Amino acid sequence: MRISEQKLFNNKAEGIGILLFLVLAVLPLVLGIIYALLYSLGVIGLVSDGFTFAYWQRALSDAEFWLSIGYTFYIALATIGLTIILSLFLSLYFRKELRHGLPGFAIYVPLAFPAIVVAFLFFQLLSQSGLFARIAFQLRLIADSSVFPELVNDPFGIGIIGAHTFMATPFFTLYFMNLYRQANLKEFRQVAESLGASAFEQLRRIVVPVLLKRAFPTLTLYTIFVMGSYEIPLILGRQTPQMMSVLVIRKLRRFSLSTIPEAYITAIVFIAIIIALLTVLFKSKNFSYDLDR
Amino acid sequence: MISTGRARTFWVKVLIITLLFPVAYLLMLSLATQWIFPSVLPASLTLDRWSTLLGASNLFGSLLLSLGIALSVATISTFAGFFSSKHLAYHPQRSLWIRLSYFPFVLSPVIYAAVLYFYFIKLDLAGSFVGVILGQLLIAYPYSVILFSGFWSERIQQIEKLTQTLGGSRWQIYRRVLLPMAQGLLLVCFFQTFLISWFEYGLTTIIGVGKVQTLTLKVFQYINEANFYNAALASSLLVLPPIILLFFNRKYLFRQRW
Amino acid sequence: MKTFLKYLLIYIFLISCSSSSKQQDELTDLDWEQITQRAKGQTVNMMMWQGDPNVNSYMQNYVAPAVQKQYGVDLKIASGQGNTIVSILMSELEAGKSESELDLVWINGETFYQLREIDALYGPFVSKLPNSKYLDLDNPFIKYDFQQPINGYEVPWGNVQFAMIYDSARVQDPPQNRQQLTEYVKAHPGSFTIPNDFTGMTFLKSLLIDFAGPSTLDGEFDKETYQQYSTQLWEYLNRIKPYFWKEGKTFPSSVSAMHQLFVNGEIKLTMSNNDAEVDNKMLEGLFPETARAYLLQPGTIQNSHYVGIPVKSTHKASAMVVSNFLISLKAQYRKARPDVWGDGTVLAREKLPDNWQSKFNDIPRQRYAPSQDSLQKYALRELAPKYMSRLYEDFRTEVIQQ
Repeated sequence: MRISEQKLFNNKAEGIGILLFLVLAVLPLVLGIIYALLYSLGVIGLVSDGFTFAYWQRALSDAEFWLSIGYTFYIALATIGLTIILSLFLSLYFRKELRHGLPGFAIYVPLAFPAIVVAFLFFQLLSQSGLFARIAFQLRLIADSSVFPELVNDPFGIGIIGAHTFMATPFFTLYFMNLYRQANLKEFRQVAESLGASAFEQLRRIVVPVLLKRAFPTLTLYTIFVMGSYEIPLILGRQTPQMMSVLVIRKLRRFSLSTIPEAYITAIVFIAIIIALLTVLFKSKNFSYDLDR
Repeated sequence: MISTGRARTFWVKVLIITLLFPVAYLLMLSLATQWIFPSVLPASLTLDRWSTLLGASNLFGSLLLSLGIALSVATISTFAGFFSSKHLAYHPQRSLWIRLSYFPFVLSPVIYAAVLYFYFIKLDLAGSFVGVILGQLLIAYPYSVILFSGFWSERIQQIEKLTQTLGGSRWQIYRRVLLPMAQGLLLVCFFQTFLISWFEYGLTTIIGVGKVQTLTLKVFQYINEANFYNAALASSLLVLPPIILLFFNRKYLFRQRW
Repeated sequence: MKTFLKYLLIYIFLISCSSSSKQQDELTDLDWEQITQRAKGQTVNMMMWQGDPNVNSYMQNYVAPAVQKQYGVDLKIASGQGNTIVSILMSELEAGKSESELDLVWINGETFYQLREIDALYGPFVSKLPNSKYLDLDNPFIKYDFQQPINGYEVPWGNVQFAMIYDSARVQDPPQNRQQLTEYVKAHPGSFTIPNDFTGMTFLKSLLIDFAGPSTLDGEFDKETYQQYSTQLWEYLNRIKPYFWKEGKTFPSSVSAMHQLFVNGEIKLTMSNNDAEVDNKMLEGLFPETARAYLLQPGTIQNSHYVGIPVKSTHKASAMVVSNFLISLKAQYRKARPDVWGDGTVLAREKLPDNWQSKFNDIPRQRYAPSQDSLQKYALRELAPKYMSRLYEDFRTEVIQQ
């Protein structure tokens, strides 16, 4: 292997550096895809009977599989949409307050939360016997816990979206505040104002478009991240539909061993979606400035 | 409604409470004895749970384990990423490498672990401390590469060449020139990769075969047995270190990290 | 790059072909003395369901320190249910691994069946354990695990029976059978549900037996019989589902989650695979003092749970020592106490030394659990494992997803 690689690299240090990268970042992905593919085709596996497309046929004709893909996109897009609205609002209206003092500290606090703790927290707060339901009960807003609206393990993924939004909003609020400064939006607004643009127009025509355009790559990456999240939908989700990551693990660990190939098919499809999204993202102009000097 | 000064102060307060309340709630739950529907406040508080933690409890072991794994992952990925990214950044294929490094980094860790589990068994790494570190490195290292890729500018390259002409060895260049120049970024990277590892659950449970019981696994186990008080205690242990870090320096916490 | 890929493919090919080195199993020739000698200083990695604080505390605070002290064995416990255990051991076999990560697993029913199917269990070894002489192996509820003879491949550990639990302060007349359950949920909508885990499936099994009639479902899994009666079961459930908790649109993922709903007053009935759980949950302070357990008509499932040793375990000696300890008089007695765990013993009373017989008889009888006599009277045998996995699959597709 070294002989063939040496032509690629100028010196040993470069060789080691790049080889390290190939081994840790590229090789595992390739190996993972190959393994999942072979398993899904029945080539390997303790209970497989040899090469077959049967698992693919079965997986692709399963309504749950398609529902899961749709649900994954729905959760990710709803989260990111809500996050954009909230964090634009916070970063634009509370820009001054959030820069220092207690608010400036508090906005960072959710960044110190791992997903599993956020999921646990939301469950504790929002379930029908959770803290909010108790407050509603004490205030005599509800007579019985079952009257409290379903906010976790609910059909619309409210709990999941809420938990993700709680994690993402502070991050993007801070991010937009940084971009606002970097893009000299203050000066642009002053110019616009002197030309007679109202405050609302300044926001609508200049500030928001510039922020969103600049933040587009990061927003897309975050969307992908939400799509692959596991702990939050595991704890706050329903038995059906399930997000793809939860579905993969469930099918992998099901009592009937025959669904394992389907788990790998779901994994392959997920990876393919991610690769497709990233490829599109890399083509966008907003992204390339970061890559090419 | 927000324009008037007083309303504005009010909303800022609401925001602060929303953001800080979760920490207070977790601490309260970890101290509660009996806190069931419909009580809004716990019946009484106890320090028992926290004090057993100081003894040789399982949770304390998990805390040390998480710490050990996170420190290893952070150290290795920061330095390996720094070293690799230099060569990748100066390589003619630079943009290809950087693009590739995004894939493992944004891919769902749990799905990544699921398709790689076979190889970890093959390499005798499944269920081991080292295996979990390697598994988490597969996410943290590409992150580190991405983070450092912006550092390697032409200016840095020129300084490096200059030092070389002045007779500096490769080691001296790293020690005297490159590492000091990147100090701030190295610290950011260290803390971010530390947190990637500290917060990781899905990959750790698969690659670790449930045997490598980090704090996140403990939280999940307690949730599973509906032992919410202990889950809150373990959660507090997860959340408090980063919050303390927040007091020291905010920029360490604010980076794209998922 | 091409060369690189070529090497890669060769590498993958090589590792997928490499076969495991056959480990010589010489334990069969050793006597118990030698086995305990060998066990000293070994670690046992045990994987078990950790969904109950009492169970965890018994293992962590009693069994682990005891085996450490008596045999120098370091017992480490990892969390994982039957399906996870199967998945882990199967992946290890697929990878041709010669040393398993697990040394002892808590299993029964379909997990045992599947592990036997893929030859993942070590055995027969039960008769090697000195304490096995006390085991109640004449009892069909212990000797057969889901209709399958254990044949020395797993050690009986506990024996329990499914029971319903209600809060007598809030429910006057809990439903005693299927017909009453229908009326009950209609009268008290939102107060009942079924956990989507093994406890829930055990409940469904008893309903299935109720539909099919006694002993219709005994023996091997029969697809047609299953189809016939499960269709009735799903029809029945879908008919009353709108009156379930959250209108039957979702189900709790585990029985501990269901207990939590019960405690918080969201639902009024819960259930347990363990007839004595009502007592230990009450002693623990989780359930209200007014909680009571009872059996459904025409009966509920009684079954046993076991521990097994993976065939590729490298610490079989110490795993056997731990298994032997688990069925020791002391450990079984302690486990049976409702303030510890309340798990029924698998030892035959008549085989025990006199002083132990009286000790077991004097266990503070569970106060609110069904009586021992009624348990035996209404005990149903487990069905073949395939029924369980089919119920799991079909409950999801026929009920949850409808």
